[in-house]
Amino acid sequence: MNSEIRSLSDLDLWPGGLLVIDSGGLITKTNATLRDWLKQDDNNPDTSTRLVDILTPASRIFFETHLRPILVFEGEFSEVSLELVRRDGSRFGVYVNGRAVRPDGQMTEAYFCIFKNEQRQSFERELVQRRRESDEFRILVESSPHAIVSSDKSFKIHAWNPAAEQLFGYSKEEVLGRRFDHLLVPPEELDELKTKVPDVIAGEVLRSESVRLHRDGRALHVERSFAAIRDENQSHTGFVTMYSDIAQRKESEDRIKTLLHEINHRSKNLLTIVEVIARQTARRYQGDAFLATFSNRLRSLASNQDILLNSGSIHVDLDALARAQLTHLVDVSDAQVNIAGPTVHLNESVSQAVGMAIFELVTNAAKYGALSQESGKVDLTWEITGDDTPTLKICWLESGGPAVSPPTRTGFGSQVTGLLLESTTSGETHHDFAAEGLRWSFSAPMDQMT
Amino acid sequence: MEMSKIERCAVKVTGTGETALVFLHGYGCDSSMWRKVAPAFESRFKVITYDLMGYGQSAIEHYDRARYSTLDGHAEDLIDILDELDLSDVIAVGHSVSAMTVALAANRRPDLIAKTVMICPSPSYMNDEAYTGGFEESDLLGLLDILEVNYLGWAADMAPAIMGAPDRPGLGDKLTESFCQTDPDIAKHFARVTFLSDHREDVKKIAQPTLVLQCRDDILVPDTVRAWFDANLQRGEQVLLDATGHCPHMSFPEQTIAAISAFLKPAPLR
Repeated sequence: MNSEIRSLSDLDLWPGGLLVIDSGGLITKTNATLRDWLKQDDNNPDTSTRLVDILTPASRIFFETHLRPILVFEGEFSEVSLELVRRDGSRFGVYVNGRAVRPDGQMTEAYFCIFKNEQRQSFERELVQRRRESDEFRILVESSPHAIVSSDKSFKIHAWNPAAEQLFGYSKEEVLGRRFDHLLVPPEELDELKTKVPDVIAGEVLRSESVRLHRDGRALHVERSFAAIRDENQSHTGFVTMYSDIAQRKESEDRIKTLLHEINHRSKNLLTIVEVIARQTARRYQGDAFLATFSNRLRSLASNQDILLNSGSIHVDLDALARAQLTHLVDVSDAQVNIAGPTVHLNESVSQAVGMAIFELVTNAAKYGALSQESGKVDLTWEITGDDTPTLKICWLESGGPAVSPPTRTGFGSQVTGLLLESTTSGETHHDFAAEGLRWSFSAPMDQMT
Repeated sequence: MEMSKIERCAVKVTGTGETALVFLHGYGCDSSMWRKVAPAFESRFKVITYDLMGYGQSAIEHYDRARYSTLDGHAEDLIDILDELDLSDVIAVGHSVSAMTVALAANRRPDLIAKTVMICPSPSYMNDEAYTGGFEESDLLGLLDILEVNYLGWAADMAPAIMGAPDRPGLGDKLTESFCQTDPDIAKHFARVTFLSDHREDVKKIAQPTLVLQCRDDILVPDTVRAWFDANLQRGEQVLLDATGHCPHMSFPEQTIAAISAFLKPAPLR
């Protein structure tokens, strides 16, 4: 018996594909296994087949751009996944090891072992698919306009998306590993959070509007949802919290609240004015004449409201605006009211604010002040001072009316002639409840108002 | 301090000469692809090689997907590098996809680039109604699958050791250890940019003298693409090398050197 190990002679029996190419890429040798896989005819060998001809187009590009450079410069590669194609167009996946013969640094030949790996390849494709799905999901979280923060069971942050960086001002690197309850939850909410955690773990989602602090200390209005994270076995692994910035919504809610307040106040004012008009008209007119005059005055009041709410033009003349606030009180004679000042045109928002303030002053004067008595008098005057930064100053002076005492409470009316006007115009207002009559003044830079 | 482009792209300057030659490597590898060609020019030219951002020893932490989502980002890098080196009238040599990068830079800065050499270029790999680039979109998308599968970690030679490391510590160091390796995500991204974009209009605009070197039997550049170059180069000559494949500068360096040298030889004095 010969105990020597003999050289391999029949590579056709080899359970893997073997292939040799020359320097130009032409296939010079194959074994029977590879020919069988490729369904090539052993009796009628094709002598002009290149390696790239048995590769799918995508594998060809990969071979030329990645593998050939490696063969030429490094001499070999291993375990590369490629797809081969048969003449009939059917394809199968393989692993390839390649080695170049390079005397003098030039590749003269290259040898390849080829292993069929259809099962493994389907597994690889599945892994690729999974990876793509997870990439897609990651991109979704990264692109989300909502801040998303996830933590483990002990609240240690392990994900913090760009929207969270943007909203709270902390970078991902700064917060990873820190406890999100320490970082974000205000102390007064901690106890509540602790008591609710068991419910959240049980499946409840906490939703609330709340205030959180930005890194720089700013208060942020946010809507928060807090839920448990579960793995595929439904075991609890952590928590996810989503925050939406609701600053804009809060602002418009506040605006609506102010508007409702204003409408309520104005309606009451209007009823008072109607009552004043009725009383004044009834003093002089009776029967049909009363009705006609009263109706006219109400119509004039209505059009005055139109000027206030919708001036319709960009610039409103202050004199016309001031007079419009008094037209419904036609009994107020020129002798009772003095309106005087230079021509000034106000922009839309300022004219509304100024008109509302004058209307408020007129209403109060008709209810309690100088215009509630025939002996009373009002001076409404304005002037422009200052050359470099011209300033408009409007003064309202009541006299000859009942004795004035400062109001015991400040209502919405005082905002109309105060804060609201100031905030619209960057101006200043001043109330002086002098016993002989209310003195009110307002001044603001012209460049903010025209 | 802001890194210069010279540092970011691992620029190497060798050789001496009045005129500078810059070599841009193609898709899938790095500047070492020029090792058999570039030294031949060092006695007569200043020779510049560098790694495209994302490849070789480039500072890949600066790989900005938005910037490099078209070849314009790479063209700007080329312009910045030549500007930083204070060069003008450069001869720019680009292999494969980088031939298009050279075209973009040449169109943008005629003062900077005097001549271009394109090795195995294709202005567009994808077939359309009136043009045969050689590949259907599905073939090109299939390449992305192959890249993905080979970067899963099976292929020891192809998969960088850093795959999956979220913050990629020491990535740059790892990559330089082996030839032609890069970050898998960058490889996929650049594959898209390389194979799915169309630069036919940019090639038509090149006003500089241009040498196009092609090989027989280049699976990336079918005959139809060579015919397209013949019909559309303004001041170009196309030379078919006695060479095969897609990388003549690696497999047939002598022919490649000879063809470039002939193109660069000054016109004989009369």
